[in-house]
Amino acid sequence: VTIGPEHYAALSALVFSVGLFGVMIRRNGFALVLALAVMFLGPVIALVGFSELGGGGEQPARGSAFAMVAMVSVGAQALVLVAMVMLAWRRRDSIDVDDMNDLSA
Amino acid sequence: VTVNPVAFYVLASLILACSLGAVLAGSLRAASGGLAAATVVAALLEAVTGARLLAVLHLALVAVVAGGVLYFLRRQGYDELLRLPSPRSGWWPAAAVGATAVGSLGVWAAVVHRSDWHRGIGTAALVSVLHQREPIVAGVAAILLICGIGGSILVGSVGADEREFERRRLERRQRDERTRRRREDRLAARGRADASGAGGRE
Repeated sequence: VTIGPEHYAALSALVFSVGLFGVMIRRNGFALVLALAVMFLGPVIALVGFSELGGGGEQPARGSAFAMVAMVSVGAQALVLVAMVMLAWRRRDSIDVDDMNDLSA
Repeated sequence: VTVNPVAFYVLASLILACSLGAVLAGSLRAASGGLAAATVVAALLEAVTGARLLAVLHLALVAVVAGGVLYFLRRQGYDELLRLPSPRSGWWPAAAVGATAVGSLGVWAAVVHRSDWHRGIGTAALVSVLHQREPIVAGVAAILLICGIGGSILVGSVGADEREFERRRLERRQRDERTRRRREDRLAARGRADASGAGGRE
């Protein structure tokens, strides 16, 4: 069996669906952020697989740089989301996302 | 680049297992551990795939994010957050069906069109891509990371005025609680005295 880009795409789809399941079932804000991070790990795996196994040819591939930006943006958004959950807990004494159903301050 | 199939399948299974653990664990500590393990195994898969620098960057990023979260939890007094329950929604079977459908669609597309994927003969190293082709990408990534760290510190930090406000609120709550208990004790004592007085008259 030769591992190709399609293997990475399939793995990426599976990891994404696991994260999606977590996002749909969790009501705790912190657990929701963790599930979102799992969800975004999928595309990063696909991008790395595509850049290493699907790129090449005459022009050097830029896919690895794209994968790097995706990876960094996932990390940055995870940090900000965790901080937002902490802020919500400080203000409302709850991180249940069902309680955060209004936009008032 | 050729990837060892055994290594790929072992690492892929580990990533899926750790991701499931991160999503299904009832405790937030276990879920965080699952996510960290999934990310580290994903970095190993990147290294096996040939993207060693990306793997190192991924591990460094995990360390930065984990360090940031631990800083907030320990230093800013959010320890209690990890002890909160993480209940599952009541309609999780429907969510499982929906997520399985999305995952199946992705796997189906990847498998059915497996001959349509472009198979390359290798790729440029990340360092040379960033240095010669896309120098701006490194700057964009650095700015993203700095904004993420700075934004999270701004949003998550507890200021001195907020600490003072919280302290006063706690004091007020304790005072109110003490007053309520005293009132209840007084009423109970009066009730007992009335009852014993009525018994003496009889």
